[in-house]
Amino acid sequence: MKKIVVTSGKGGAGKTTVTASLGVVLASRGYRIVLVDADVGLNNLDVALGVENKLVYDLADVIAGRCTAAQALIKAGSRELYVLPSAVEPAGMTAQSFRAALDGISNCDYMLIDCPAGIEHGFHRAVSAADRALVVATPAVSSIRDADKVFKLLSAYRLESVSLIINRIDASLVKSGEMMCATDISRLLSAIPVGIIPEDRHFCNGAPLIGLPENVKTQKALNILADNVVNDTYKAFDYLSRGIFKRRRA
Amino acid sequence: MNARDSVRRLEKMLARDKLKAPDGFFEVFERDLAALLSAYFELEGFTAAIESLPEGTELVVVKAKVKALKPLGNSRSLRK
Repeated sequence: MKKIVVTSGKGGAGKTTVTASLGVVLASRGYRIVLVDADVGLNNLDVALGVENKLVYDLADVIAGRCTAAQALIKAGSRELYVLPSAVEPAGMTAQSFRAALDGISNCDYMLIDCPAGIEHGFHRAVSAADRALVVATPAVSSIRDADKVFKLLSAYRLESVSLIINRIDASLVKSGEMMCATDISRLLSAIPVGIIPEDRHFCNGAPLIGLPENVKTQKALNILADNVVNDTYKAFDYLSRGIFKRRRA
Repeated sequence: MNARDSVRRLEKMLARDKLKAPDGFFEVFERDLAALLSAYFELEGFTAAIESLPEGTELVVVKAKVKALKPLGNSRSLRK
């Protein structure tokens, strides 16, 4: 099982959307996926997947011993995609108790942990339970600066890999010189992106991410991100021409 | 602010974060370098930046077009 934390530092970069979308794509390939909402108190992973009405138990119940982690999982869609929600802040939750709660989930291929914004306790809890990290950054100055700080912080953890995802990039704004391009962001952060995800109206209206049309541009980008996560590669989505090309590895 | 300006701003910001440089460091650094080089050259379009390299070190990049060398004084001219 691979445990991957999706983080960014800055709020609004798209951690939850990326976590949910990547989970949907990986589940559609036959993997058994568990998405963990570590954004305690500001949980939205269940909403992103349209399962907010199915919540019975949550992370707080698992940590308090009122149920097992397996009992708290909510199935999302028809595939093997599950969510461990976190509706309320569990009393006395530590990084250790959070890790112990996740250790109760063993039968899955990928566990994606949706990290809270910020770089404090919630960040530490989520990162210390993972063995890989995906850092989401948008082409905004503040987002890139925060991502840079997060990369530095993550270097203190024993993670197998830390990779960059550039989210919400707008090809038309890049072409007109109003938005930084993926190459600039990659150079500034000294990281080759495993995912470049374009801005997409399908992801802005709050509709559940399961069942999005297969032909949307973002779906192609997410498929490439999933390829890279599964195969540990750096194949890039050419958001400017909608083609696919290979980039050499770092 | 266009993308080019954002990139330049971020380059300075990220280098400052890494070096833990105090506010105003880059302005002073740039001004001092410009003053030093201006003692020797007539400059045009001077820029100085600190870039972070992937291996974790920093590179100081100074770019300026030299229009002419300035006449250098010597010890005799100092005495006058």
